Amino acid sequence: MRKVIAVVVFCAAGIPLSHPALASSGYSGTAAASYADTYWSNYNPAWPSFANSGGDCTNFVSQALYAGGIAMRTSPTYSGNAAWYMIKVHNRWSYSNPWVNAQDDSVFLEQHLTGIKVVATIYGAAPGQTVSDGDAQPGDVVLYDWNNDGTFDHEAIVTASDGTKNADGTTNYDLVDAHTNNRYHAYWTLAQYNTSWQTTRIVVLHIPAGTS
Amino acid sequence: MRAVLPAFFLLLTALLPANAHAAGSRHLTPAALAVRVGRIFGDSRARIIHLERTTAEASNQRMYVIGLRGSFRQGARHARYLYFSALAGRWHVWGVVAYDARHHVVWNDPILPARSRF
Repeated sequence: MRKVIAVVVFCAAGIPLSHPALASSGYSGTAAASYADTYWSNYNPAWPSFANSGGDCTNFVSQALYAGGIAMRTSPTYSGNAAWYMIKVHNRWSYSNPWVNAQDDSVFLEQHLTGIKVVATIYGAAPGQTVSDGDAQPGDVVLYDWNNDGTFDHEAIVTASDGTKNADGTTNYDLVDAHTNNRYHAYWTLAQYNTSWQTTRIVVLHIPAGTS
Repeated sequence: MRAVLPAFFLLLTALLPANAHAAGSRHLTPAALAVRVGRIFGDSRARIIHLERTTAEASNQRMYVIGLRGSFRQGARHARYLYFSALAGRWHVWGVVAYDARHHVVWNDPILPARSRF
């Protein structure tokens, strides 16, 4: 009976059952990174894709954060950039801007998630240049502003290490996954793929374990 | 004559990709880029050992990430491997990183100037 009630409540919330359940202990960056590694190329059919309509980068990172344990903030309880959700209502997807838009997501993450910290900000990182990402951890978010106009255009998620170490001997997690364009374990500055690397501003946000 | 025509056609097909840019198309093939970039660093016959076809961030243009194996030089420095990014639609090569046989970086050119195209 308990199971039946749980299923009914979950459906009533409009969250597809095929989505991974939230971890009760809050955010696990490792789980988020694992999700990204699973779906960087094979898009998860449980979610809609925006790859052919504006880009799927933020939608993909949001899915990974959700899989890692960040809870949705649905309307009307949350509004504007405090709302963060992607739900199916009457067989149609309903979503907030921060779930799908990099700039709006940056506002949500920095202003509405407790404990989020900017761990690195760089400008004009050259391809082939090794740059510190501020001890980023798996599951952290990387935001890109291609022309440094103050609006983020793209985002990715930290997923792995290239094997190098930080100055203190800890593992240097410096590789990211992304959608639109699909990337798997790419060096975090993406300068290798970026014709505008000279004008690109990059910000790394650390999401502490346990954040919900 | 019947036997000659298909052979001629096959020969043309084989030659076209590497020289498509010379035939009016703006498309640069990996083979053509390997020759041009390799030539700049002293080895126009370098072998392609890595090829990634993708789309460039920001500009959304078709691009390649190419790895070459050969005998490269820049001044007095020598390298065995060369990796670089290049647009497919026009001459724009960036992120050239040269490695020695032990995969240590020997030199790094963030961007190749346009005048280095030949």
